[in-house]
Amino acid sequence: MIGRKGRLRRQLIIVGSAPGTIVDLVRGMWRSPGGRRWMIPLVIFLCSVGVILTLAAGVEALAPFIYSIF
Amino acid sequence: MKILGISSFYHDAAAALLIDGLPVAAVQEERLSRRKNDAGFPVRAIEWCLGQAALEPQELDAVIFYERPALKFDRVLMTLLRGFPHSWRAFPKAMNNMLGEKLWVRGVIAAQLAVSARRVHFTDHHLSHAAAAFLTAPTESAAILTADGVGEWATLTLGRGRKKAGGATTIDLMREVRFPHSLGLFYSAFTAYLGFKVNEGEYKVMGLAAYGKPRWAREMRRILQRTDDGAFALDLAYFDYHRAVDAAYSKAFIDLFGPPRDHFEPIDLSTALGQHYADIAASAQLVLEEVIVDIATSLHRETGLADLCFGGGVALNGVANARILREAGFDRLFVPSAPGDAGCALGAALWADRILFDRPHRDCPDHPFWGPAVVSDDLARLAAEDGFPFARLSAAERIDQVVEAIASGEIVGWMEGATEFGPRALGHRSILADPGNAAMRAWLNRDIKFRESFRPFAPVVPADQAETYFELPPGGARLGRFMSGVFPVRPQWRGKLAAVTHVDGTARVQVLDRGMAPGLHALLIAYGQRRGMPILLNTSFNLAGDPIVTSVAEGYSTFRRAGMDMLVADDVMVRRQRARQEHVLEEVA
Repeated sequence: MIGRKGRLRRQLIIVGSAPGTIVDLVRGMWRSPGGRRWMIPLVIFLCSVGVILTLAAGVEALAPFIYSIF
Repeated sequence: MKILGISSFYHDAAAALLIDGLPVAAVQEERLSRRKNDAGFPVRAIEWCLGQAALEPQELDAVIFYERPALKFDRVLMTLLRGFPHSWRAFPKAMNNMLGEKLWVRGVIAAQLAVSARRVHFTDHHLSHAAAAFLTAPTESAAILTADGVGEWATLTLGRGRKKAGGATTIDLMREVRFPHSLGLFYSAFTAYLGFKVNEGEYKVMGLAAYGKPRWAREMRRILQRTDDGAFALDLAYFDYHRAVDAAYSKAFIDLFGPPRDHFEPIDLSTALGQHYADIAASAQLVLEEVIVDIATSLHRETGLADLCFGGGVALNGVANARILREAGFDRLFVPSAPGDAGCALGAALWADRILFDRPHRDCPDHPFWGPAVVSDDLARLAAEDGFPFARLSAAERIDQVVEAIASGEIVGWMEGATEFGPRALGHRSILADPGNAAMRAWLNRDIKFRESFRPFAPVVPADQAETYFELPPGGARLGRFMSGVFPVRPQWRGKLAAVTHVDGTARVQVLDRGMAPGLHALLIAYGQRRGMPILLNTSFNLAGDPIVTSVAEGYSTFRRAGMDMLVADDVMVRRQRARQEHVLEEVA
């Protein structure tokens, strides 16, 4: 059986693994032959927004404050 | 080594478990969640696969996801930026879609399964397709072709693979065609235009094509052009999928082909408009075939190999597959039972075992039955609860009674052993009926499966007698093993196989090897002795819009709702009592 973790704990694990994904993404763009390094700041910004939204989905107390930003 | 393969988040999620290089379980999430083409994270499928091997997630050596989410995000972002300002409406939706869950797959898997993120690996989408096609096929060396809508960037890849039992495995994808140029998305645009659901209704387009004439082929060739390097390019002015989230084709497309079909309106082939849609389907089908056959022919010329392994959603197009086999020069064409994204779960797990962890190849069992098995006691219990008489039968009694029922025009639900992995019912979750009765097709479409009247049904025939009834090219029996090819019915048999012969005289035949489904094979032989032809109509055991049934309870529910006459689950048989049912209805009235 798959042990069910709490929602908050699951979201925190996802947020915790996000830097690795962002690093992979940035590394891929840095090495890409198509000259797409200019996209890196945009990617970091978008991913950061994604991480914040993921956090908002997990921590209900924070959600109203985070959503109000958008 | 225990490896779990996962595909999810786009369409048709699935999980597959590999232990010491061999599959032990594989199932699509839809079969357990009962939501057609369920794309959500396949928790039920994973749980079932682990349960089959009595494993806890923490005991897995690796979990492999079938594609690279970061590269996919890269493609989505790049496409939207290139399409600016036309894509501005799509941008927030696409970002919301990607950044919510799809980009953080490593974390999602780690969180859901409570495994270390370090054990989560990724492979390329088309490498998963290639592995699913090549590593499950009984060949040591083959050319590889994959084609679908889109993976990360690739939409079609060409390569070659080599493997040997106990030895090393190599898969070398040599070239690729990149998004937005895609055979799968070309076909999907016409699927949407013809009023069918994208990623689900493509086989309806293929069925409809047989009713039309390719009058629009010249226009299609203008849209799907060949390039000097042997690949193809779409004229993107006719498409919108690269700049919109919910649109496949553009205004120029409508200007060229006319207004799209309203999906609430049935296709009436006796009207000019109905015939127009059939002609469009025939033209799209023809041009797709021309391109894919040409690419496969070049691949054969380049590799000089006798076998081709074909994966990806386009490999579900049985008409194109048959043309590849006939015309591209390959002796054998292998299409796995699940060539679409669900099969990538198994492909990714096999790729991880053979290539990522460099373990020796082991030949996979050549069958599609990797899902949950029938529990016949459940049928006995359900029937008893409902007051339906049921019987436990020996194998011989069961065959006698089913043959008798089908021969007298009854429709039988047939459940046996483990469920199939992939979209086809290959004899373990099937509705069986008389293939000779022309009225059967209309009846099944209208009253049993509740689907469009133009859609054909497939026959199943023992392998050693297939050529008597069907015009199979060399290698055709292999392609028909998982119902992956459409072949002509021999003219002298078309009248006697009226329920399974499509309007163009073809059938998507399943060529059944005795070893793959011995129960159904014995039934075919017995039916042949009774009626002179060992062929049955075999359609998937589900109603329109539902996934194929998995458990006996689902089979029983479908049996009750669909007005079938008999349900068989391994050794238990339930028969509908028409007189009793009518009596009950009278009382209710």
